[in-house]
Amino acid sequence: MKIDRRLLYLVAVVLVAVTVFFPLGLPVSVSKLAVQTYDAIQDLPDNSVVFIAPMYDPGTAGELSPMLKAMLYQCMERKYRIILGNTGWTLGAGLAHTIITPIAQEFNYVYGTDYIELGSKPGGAIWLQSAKADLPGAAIVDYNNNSLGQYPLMQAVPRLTQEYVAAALVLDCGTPGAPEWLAQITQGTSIKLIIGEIQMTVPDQMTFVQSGQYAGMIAGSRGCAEYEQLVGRPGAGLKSQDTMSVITLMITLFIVLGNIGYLTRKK
Amino acid sequence: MHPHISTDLGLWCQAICTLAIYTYLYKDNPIYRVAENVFLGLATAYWFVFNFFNFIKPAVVEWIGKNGQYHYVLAIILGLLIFMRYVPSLSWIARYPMSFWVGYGTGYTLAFTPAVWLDQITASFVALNSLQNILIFVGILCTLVYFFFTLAKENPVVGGIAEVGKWYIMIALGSAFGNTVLYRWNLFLARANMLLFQWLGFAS
Amino acid sequence: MRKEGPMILTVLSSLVVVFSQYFFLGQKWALMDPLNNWFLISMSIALALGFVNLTSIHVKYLQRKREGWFYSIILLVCMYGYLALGLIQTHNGLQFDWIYQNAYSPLGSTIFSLVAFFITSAAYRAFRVRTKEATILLVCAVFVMLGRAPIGDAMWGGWSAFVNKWVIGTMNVAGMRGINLGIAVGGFATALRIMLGLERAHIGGSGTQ
Repeated sequence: MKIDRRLLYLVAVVLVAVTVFFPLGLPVSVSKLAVQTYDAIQDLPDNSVVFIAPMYDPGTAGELSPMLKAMLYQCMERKYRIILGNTGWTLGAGLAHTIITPIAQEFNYVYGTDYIELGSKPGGAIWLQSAKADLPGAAIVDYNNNSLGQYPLMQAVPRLTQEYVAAALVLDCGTPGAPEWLAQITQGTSIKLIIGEIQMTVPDQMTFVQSGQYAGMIAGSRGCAEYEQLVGRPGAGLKSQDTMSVITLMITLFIVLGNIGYLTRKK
Repeated sequence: MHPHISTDLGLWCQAICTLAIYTYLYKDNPIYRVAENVFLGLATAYWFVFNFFNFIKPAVVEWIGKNGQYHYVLAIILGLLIFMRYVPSLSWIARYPMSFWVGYGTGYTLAFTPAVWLDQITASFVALNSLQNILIFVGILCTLVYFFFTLAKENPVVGGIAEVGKWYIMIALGSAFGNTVLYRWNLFLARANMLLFQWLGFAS
Repeated sequence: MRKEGPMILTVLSSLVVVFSQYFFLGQKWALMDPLNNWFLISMSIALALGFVNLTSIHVKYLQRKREGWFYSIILLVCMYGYLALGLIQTHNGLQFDWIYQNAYSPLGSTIFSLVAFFITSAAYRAFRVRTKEATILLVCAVFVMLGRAPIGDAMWGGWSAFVNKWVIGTMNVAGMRGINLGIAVGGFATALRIMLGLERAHIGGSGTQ
């Protein structure tokens, strides 16, 4: 039966709008991968330095910003020292700034000692090579254009190497992203690479989780919902799951109906 | 559930841009075409400006001007040579910058990727002590055989192994497709959240 | 030197990168630092090609009053206007940043999200189980979607665990790794051929030696 595609679009939009205003409240079970990711961050030594890299822009912020928020909560509850910065994603630094500021205030984190924001640096993999050799030299200034030499945290981390950084938490949505961090910084070192990944590239990145090159992965919006529950801070990730459920049912129904029609016509 | 429409100009701009693109869902129309061309124009300009101030200007002002690293003049000339492609008699000169970029990329591939992929290869040799590990090991081998185009698939053994590999590939692609569908709808959900809660101001 | 020069440049630049990574002297001499900057500077200048191409195409449309020429005006005005604003204000300028956040970024993410609707209509109108392979792909896709959304667990408690362990964590890993290793080996072989001067397609040669 031929149905105008615009009717299908309308059905989809209505379903999304309904679930946004009237959530179903379906429970979200926690997967082993989410537990592995949570434990990978939780088990870092006390007072570790963690480099959090929000390598994304507003286009994918819907999926990745909730992950960043949950990561920051977990890291600050563990009292890790945090360096926040990215390379190649200008607006990601701005998004991260609006997220970290209130959380740092909540945990009484002191800027320059407990955490620092480097902002976004150009160069991608090339910048990572420079940062590995000399982090303050590669970064030059912080998010507010202040010289880095004055900050105790930057004095304590002269290079992006395993002697100074325990883990890299990379929120990845494209190039440059987690593969560049793996190739330039963490491959062959003891720096744990834990990533937050958009749903689309989860199957591809799973191979690196299986090989152990990623210590953990927050797998898309579902992974974010699971991770938020583990951190104890339910947020936007969890809220999006009801809509995903309804959309999944709708797509499944369309595929089944379409193929029933096809198979009956074929006979 | 009453809306409190935002008065922020930025949010209105975001909402107008978003709705202009979504008009395409009804049919191709001038509003969509305008939005599409605006996007293309802005994208082209943005990336040039970004790179100009991050690489070209520092090169000219600081590296060459202040630090006296005059070899970067050659880099600028190399970049400009690509425009020779528009001069028919001199278009061969444009091969030089292209060759440099291809060479750099080639060196990068040879220098930085083997370590990553060697770990992937060693991780494929899992201990065959569980069904999961056996399936992973067998699957990787079968998939690789599928891509050996120099092996005759008419051979029943090779053909059978490649067929199993094809099934694994179909499952992997199906998995990728399923995740892609959810990802794209997540993108729409983010737009919908902006329109409903930030622009129209419905209480969340 | 129309072909030999570029070939020598390709081989030399790739050798410098490889030498810098694998050999002690290469790291001591820090040859990669200036080379990286050369790459970034020359690529940044080449981005202006986009301006030249778009301008030449759309000016032709305007001259010929081709259908939709009005949109060409819009494109050129936006492109050069935003460029001028950016060059005056820098990439951190207030209005430049405002336009990026409130126009460029929402336009981009909305265009990407359109695919969701096309997938939806394709699910009903186009996705057909015509072959064994298509059936496996579709069934797996539906399985994974139901496993990744809470509705799957609501229907059968172990759905997401099954999908995570056996589909994504086992079969998908094997298939994807085979695909990725094939791509990596192919890329490596091509890179080696380029470095050895056997591959000439990028300099307008007949292709391979």
